Amino acid sequence: MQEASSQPAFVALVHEHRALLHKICNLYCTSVHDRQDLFQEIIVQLWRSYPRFRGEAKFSTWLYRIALNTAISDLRRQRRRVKATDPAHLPAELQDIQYAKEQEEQLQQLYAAIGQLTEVEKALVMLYLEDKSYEEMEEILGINQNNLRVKMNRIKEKLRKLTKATTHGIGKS
Amino acid sequence: MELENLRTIWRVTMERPAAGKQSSEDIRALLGRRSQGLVAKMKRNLFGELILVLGIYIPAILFYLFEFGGKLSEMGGALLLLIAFFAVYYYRKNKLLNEMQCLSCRVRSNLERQVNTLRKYIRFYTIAGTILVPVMAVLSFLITARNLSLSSSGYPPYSLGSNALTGTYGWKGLGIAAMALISVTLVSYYTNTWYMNKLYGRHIRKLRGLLQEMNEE
Repeated sequence: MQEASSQPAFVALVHEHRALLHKICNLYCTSVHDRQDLFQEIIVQLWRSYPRFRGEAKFSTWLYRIALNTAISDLRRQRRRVKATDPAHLPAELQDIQYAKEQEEQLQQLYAAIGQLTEVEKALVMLYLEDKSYEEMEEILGINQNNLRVKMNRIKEKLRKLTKATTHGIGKS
Repeated sequence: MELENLRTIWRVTMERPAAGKQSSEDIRALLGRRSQGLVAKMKRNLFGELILVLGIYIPAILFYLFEFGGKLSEMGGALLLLIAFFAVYYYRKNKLLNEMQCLSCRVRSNLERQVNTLRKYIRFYTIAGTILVPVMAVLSFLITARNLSLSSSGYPPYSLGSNALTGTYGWKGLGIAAMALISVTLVSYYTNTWYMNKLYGRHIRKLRGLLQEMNEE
């Protein structure tokens, strides 16, 4: 049973990092319902793991591990995955920003391409966008740094091809 | 647009007032919810199974132990033996479920643990489910045989022919029984294997795929 005394500290920490959790949910889920489900599941798992957190790793590293492990292992949601080509797929935080039309199209294409990546590739993209060093990525994912560099290059190339394919498709219509 | 451009936009966006509309109260309200993850569901199912088995077997054991002046107590004893078997079965399954994931571990370690432990869990379930069939069959056979041999002394209440297990048909009868037992055990094994694949096959293939992707160079 969780101690009531640790709850306020936990809630405060999670509240402080909630933006990060939302970014993960946005990356792994396309529907609002799935994002809410995943967010809830991550919070539950964080709370259950909190008593065992002794500070050996940074809190953010611990949080990333739990959130990504939860997102990657969620088979139910993966079955319902929808192709992310709908402009509404852009996360709410990015929809609010005013972009030039061309830039917005490119952003949508990139997000649609990211939606087609595998769960592992999304985790790498997530950490890359968060400016994590390869050392920190290794701490979270358990993949050695050389491998991470190779995988990251492949992901960038894959995204280039996916976005180029989408551009050509738009051009032809 | 390249990924680097998105990184810039991502960074700018995250410097804005925190995204996510959940307040501390909203987060606190989530803490009491049940996990919808696979392992949590498996644990709940296991607990439900345990309650069901106890609910069925305990009244049956008490019935056989104390009714009919204790003449059917062997049946109660046999059921107690089965309860002991189930106790080991549930203990082992629960232990495997507790070991199945480590969400605070590195992602690759967690995936390895899930794959290895899920394989052990499936193997254990298949073997235990298969062994249960001949064990119950042999127990039923022994109890029936004992009661038949006692029936000439006026013990109730079986109506089976007393020649079924003795006399000239003894060895032949045992041979037929053994073949039937082997057939039923084989059917049980393949049924359990099919059932486990139906329940967990897709999940374990997915986990293996993710692990393979992480290990690729």
